Amino acid sequence: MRLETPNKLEELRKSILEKQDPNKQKILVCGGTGCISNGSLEVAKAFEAELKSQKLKAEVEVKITGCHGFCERGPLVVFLPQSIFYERVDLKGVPDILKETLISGVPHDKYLYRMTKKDDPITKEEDIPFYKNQLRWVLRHNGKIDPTSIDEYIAQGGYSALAKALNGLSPERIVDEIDKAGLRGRGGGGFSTARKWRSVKDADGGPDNIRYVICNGDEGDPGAFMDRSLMEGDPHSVIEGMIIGAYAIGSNKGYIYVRMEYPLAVKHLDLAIKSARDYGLLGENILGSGFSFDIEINRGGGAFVCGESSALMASIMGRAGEPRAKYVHSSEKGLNDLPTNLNNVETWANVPLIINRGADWFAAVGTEKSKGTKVFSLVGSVNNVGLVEVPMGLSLREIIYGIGGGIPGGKKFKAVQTGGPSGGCIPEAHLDAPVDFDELTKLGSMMGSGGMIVMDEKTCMVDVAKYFINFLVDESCGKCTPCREGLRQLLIVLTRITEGKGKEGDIELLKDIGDCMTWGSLCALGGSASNPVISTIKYFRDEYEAHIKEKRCPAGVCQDLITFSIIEGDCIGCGRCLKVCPSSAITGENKKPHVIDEKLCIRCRACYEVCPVDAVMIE
Amino acid sequence: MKEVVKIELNGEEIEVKKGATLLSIARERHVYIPTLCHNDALEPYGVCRMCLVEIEERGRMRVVTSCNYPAKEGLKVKTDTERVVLTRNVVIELLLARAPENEEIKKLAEFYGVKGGRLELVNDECILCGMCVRTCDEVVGVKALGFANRGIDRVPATPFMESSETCIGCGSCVYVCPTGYIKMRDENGKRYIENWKVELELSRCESCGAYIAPKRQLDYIRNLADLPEDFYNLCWNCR
Amino acid sequence: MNYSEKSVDKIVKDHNGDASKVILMLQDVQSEFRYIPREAVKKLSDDLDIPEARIYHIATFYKAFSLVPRGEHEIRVCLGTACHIKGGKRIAEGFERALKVKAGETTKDKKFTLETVNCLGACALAPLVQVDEENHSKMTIEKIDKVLKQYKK
Repeated sequence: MRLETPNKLEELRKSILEKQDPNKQKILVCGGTGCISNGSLEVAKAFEAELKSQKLKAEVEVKITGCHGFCERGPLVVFLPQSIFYERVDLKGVPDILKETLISGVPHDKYLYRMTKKDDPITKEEDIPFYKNQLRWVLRHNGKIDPTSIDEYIAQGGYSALAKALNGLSPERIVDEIDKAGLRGRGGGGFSTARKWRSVKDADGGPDNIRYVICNGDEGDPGAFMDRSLMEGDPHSVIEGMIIGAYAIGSNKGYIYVRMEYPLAVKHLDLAIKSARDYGLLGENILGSGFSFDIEINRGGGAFVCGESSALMASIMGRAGEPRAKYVHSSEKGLNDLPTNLNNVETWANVPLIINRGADWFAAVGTEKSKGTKVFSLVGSVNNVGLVEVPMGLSLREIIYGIGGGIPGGKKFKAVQTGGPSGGCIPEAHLDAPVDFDELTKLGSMMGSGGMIVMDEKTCMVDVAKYFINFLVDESCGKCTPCREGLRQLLIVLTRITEGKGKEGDIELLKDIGDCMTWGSLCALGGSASNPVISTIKYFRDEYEAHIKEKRCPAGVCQDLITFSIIEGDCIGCGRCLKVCPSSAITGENKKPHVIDEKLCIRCRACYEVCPVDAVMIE
Repeated sequence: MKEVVKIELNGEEIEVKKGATLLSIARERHVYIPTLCHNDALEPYGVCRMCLVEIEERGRMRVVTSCNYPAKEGLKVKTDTERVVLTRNVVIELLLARAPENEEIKKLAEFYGVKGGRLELVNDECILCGMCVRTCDEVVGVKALGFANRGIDRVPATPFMESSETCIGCGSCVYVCPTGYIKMRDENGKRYIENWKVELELSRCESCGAYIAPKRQLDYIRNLADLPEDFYNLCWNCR
Repeated sequence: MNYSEKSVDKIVKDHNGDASKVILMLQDVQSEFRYIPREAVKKLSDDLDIPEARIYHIATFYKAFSLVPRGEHEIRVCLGTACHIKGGKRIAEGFERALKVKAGETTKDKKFTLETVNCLGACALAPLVQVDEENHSKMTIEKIDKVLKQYKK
């Protein structure tokens, strides 16, 4: 069914809403990647089966939604309209949860959220600290709607921003609104979205007046999965944003570039594009406005560098994803040498919000120069691992402790890494810094796409630096000298430091190579590649020096600088370490203290991990 | 239409053609800027990063490659700032570790006073300037060469590292290579380019018997230029 | 699966013979044959009029492609940042020992190909191992044998 006018869209919305009963019993099962891995789809099936056997199928709707964000506690299940939040739901629990919630009318205590086992349970999602301190604008539909249904998106007010834009806002007015809202690119650099749009809009589109819009869904930063959750959980918000943007800059053709590691995102986007086409929200003469626009999906081939705009465009054009050395912006000459506007997934998803609610509403939240909210993937050594959305300007401490619930196991916080391989590590002294584009840059890190990896005292910062450089050695395209040879040499130096073979002057050498890469590299990947090294030297120089001068890894991580032993008095002789040891370095009789032969030990850490009484010691 | 703009080169105000590359402007004025991946016959590639200069544009300082940066009104260009010197010297140091025996790199290192010794040697004569690949593509048009792999594993290569079926053995890649990494020899009526595992029969002059060029190369040119069948039967001397 | 010209014909047709879609075509070739056969590169080069050297570059540049047949099951040990600080590297080493291959290699019986990958974007599950399409979350060295057993049948 094609919607010929904006009124038809409104009529459709009304008819969908009329059919929906807000009081109908619903069971929302999280279908995010994390929950699926923990068996949420089986849980959903079990609910269906149980409902059938209880003859409740007609009255209760089971819905698989996008990611709820609280991945740590999955599989997550929410009962509506009661708003009861269940965590770690397993097949065993399904019958009892159903019986107690629906028949007795009391939440089933066992699967309710508790901060720790000793705490009282919290029943409602909105009361859980992890959610309470968030401001979910971009993620507003995630976990609420079925991402495979365009009708559900429309019922939530979806595509009304598009209708508003096409039905009375001039392209110029839309760019002004985005400008006034102060929207900055969520993909990394934080460039002004309106400025980018304006330069593409004003650029020469050639004899056929062609411009392109691209959605960068090549979320490659390790430790980041915001864009994945958005594309999987609310694909229409991204598509609606793109159509509005295309209308504003005068483009008829768009691409969504999705990394190959995200097959579910491709599936949901593909479905969303098809259903938007069926309604005439994509294609010729959208909503009778005379404006035409369509979107094509491009799967990446597995290359981090394709997140760089010119490499991404090379990839779309069917070439190896190498950045090009040209001092012409892609806003003038991008895809096929024509003006091209590239924005990240989260940026696009912000657009309908701004058009609907207005620039003033949007800009009321955030800091002076960073407006709105930002989605972060809060991972690593933190209690509440998951996806969080907060107003710009919240402090790192509020995010890590307030929402994330602090560091598990009573360990001490050491650093938080933001910005992926282009970012840096921020130490405890700066935990109260407000999180926005400029503050993070000032601290030697960057916002990046929004990965936030928390590290505790057991993390070695030299090892972290080596990790990122190793990552980039694998991912650099290898085209220009500073990035290719610089990364190679950085890795060599860092490796020898972590092996206890570091030399006097190595820190200066790292800095020299880093500077050369910063100034001399061809693209942003190389230009920012040394940040993880430079920022760890800046804040954790003593750790580098301990490795170089004392041949010691203070965090007990670097394999060549540590030894494993078993504390005799603590060992209960359970034999688990003996069984798991791959090099047969552990001996001992049942129920008697075990011993590690240092000569045979390959320091794989397996014994340390399995020991139930923490009797394995690392020195 | 030749639009002229005013720029500043090392403090001196000059008038230049708009859009001309900073490298060409500097060279015309005998300001030395080193290059390794530049050749006037090829599109600027900007990868060796030897030709870096520092520019000031609208109050912003940036290090850019001069080989492809176009002249614009009001641009201030400096060829030897602290940043340029540091970056260029480390680039030379990196290349010296990669190709320690190479005469060209050794000369550059000596000229700029760069000493080796801090870095681990890689010992790869190819410095990945891409001149061979680009010449084969842009000038010869045969496109027998490309790159393979990425990052530190990047190499110029024929498909599947096997003997190329399209290579005409013209040797252009050998002539442009700045380090002598690509090796070619003619022996017993055959041309060998070891890097590409190419072995091509050489055509002989019907009159004096001298070897002219690989048969495949002559066929290629004859086809391209629509020359008569017997055009290359004689060598240059016997024509 | 062995190379067949017909399959490649179909793949080219599926993408309307559009040369700019060569990466997508190679992805289809990879999933059809579990690698990129030499013949497929030649054929794509002829059909799309793209130099073979350029297709070879693409096939060796992107991680999605392999020039040698991959194993029946692909094991991807995630080395994203979250996985790294939770011991992803040790898990990878554990798989290397268990399968007696290095990362990037395929077992002799062609059953498994072991890969390390730079973040699968499921960081809450760290350390994560993916076998084919299935995720195994919060991996430990102890669990490796159990995971492998599921696929050995």
